[in-house]
Amino acid sequence: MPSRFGQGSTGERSALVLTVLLVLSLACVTLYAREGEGGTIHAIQHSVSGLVSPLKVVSGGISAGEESIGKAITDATVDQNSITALREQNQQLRQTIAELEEYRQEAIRLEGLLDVKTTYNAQGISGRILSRSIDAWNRVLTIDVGSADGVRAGLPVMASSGLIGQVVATTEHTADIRLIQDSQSGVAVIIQSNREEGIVVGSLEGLLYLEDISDEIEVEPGEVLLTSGLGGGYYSGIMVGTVLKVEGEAGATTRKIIVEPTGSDKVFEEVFVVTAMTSPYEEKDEESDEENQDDALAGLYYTDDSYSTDYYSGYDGGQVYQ
Amino acid sequence: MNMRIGIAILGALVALVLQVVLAPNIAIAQTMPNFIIVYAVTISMILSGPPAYIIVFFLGLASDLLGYGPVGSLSFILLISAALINLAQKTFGNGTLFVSCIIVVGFTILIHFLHAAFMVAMTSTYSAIDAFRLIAIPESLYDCVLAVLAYVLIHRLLAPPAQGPTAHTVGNLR
Repeated sequence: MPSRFGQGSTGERSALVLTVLLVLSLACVTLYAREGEGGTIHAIQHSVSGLVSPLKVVSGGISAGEESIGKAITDATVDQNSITALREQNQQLRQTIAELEEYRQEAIRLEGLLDVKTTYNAQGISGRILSRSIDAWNRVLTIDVGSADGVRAGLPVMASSGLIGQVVATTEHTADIRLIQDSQSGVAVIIQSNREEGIVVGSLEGLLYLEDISDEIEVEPGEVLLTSGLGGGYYSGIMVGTVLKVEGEAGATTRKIIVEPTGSDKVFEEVFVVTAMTSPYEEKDEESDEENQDDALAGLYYTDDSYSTDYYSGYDGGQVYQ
Repeated sequence: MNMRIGIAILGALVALVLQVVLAPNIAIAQTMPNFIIVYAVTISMILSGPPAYIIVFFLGLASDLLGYGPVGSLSFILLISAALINLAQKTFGNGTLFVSCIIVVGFTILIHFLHAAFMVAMTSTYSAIDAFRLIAIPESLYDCVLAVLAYVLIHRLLAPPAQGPTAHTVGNLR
């Protein structure tokens, strides 16, 4: 039978232990809230994450096993309707590929015209996802590369499809990535078509919202969002997502713009931590200097205010944008 | 240290490992079970006094350190809950499984709601409605099921032996 408080020494001892532990807990919370990211408790929190990384590897193994089993069951139970649906889907995809091929060839021609090779040239380290966060409050991935590989907090992380998050903590051989879908994430972006600036923020439900954009600006579904480089958190020009849905009209203060991220954390297994990003426009400048000739494209980017803001806002003075 | 406390500490370690290894893989539509809360409620029902408080304190602290939330918040909530569970058992507990399960379910929900409130208060990024709608309610429902199962299981392992000459018979333990 549980002992009653105030009944003899046992009750008093219980009350004393409870009080001490409650004070200790509150002291931790207060210290955590007051100290910065570099504080002692934050540092301990990051270290503990590194200590349990072997367990996270096991968790990742279980996750991979689950996916394999799920796929095998799906394959084994596929019926005629599914095959018909897949054939139709295949036909649609072929049509899409044909259209895309047209766009690609058009893009090649335009690139040739403007003499643009690539938008950016990223350098970095690829890592494999070990595990996902152990609570629903955070959308954090742990990957198998860390400070020993050159990964440090603050670096952006991409999947093949575009930006997925940012490194928030590292240990020697692991790094934690906060996904852009996390409600504590915010990415400064521009709308590709009209160069309007906004912020893409995550939410607890995992959706991305485009905020801080002027109410008067028309935003249509399908518009592409790129990192602007403002704020210094991300290199500029990385694809973040596309506008999925706009709830409300332009001019309404309650307008909600829902963004579809370029990739879901459930569909990729490997990610790319960007350590440096070189602009082709700088390479172009160097070539121009060597050849002593004007570059029409460079002129475009240096003279147009919107372009110069987008591409050079995070420029740190060297080859690297951050 | 007696046998019951030793088993309880071992159980806490198992709960911690399950949270890191298993919980992310058995999430249902982003609703993840919290084995730490489940175990804390269960152990508060079975043990009382300092052993229960110390175990739930370190469980909460470990959970906070493993995640990205305010360190100490879950410890604080689990400690308050452990004390209230003690009180609830003395007030309402009549030794039946039904009442015990009601207490387990009630406190599992209460801990999730208090934790959500703490997270909203401590972090400006969470909206209160979303925190309760998307995390506290679905997770507490998931954990209620696990907590009842865990209570039945752990009670069999750790329940204090009944007094009297027939204390160690199988029938008494049941």
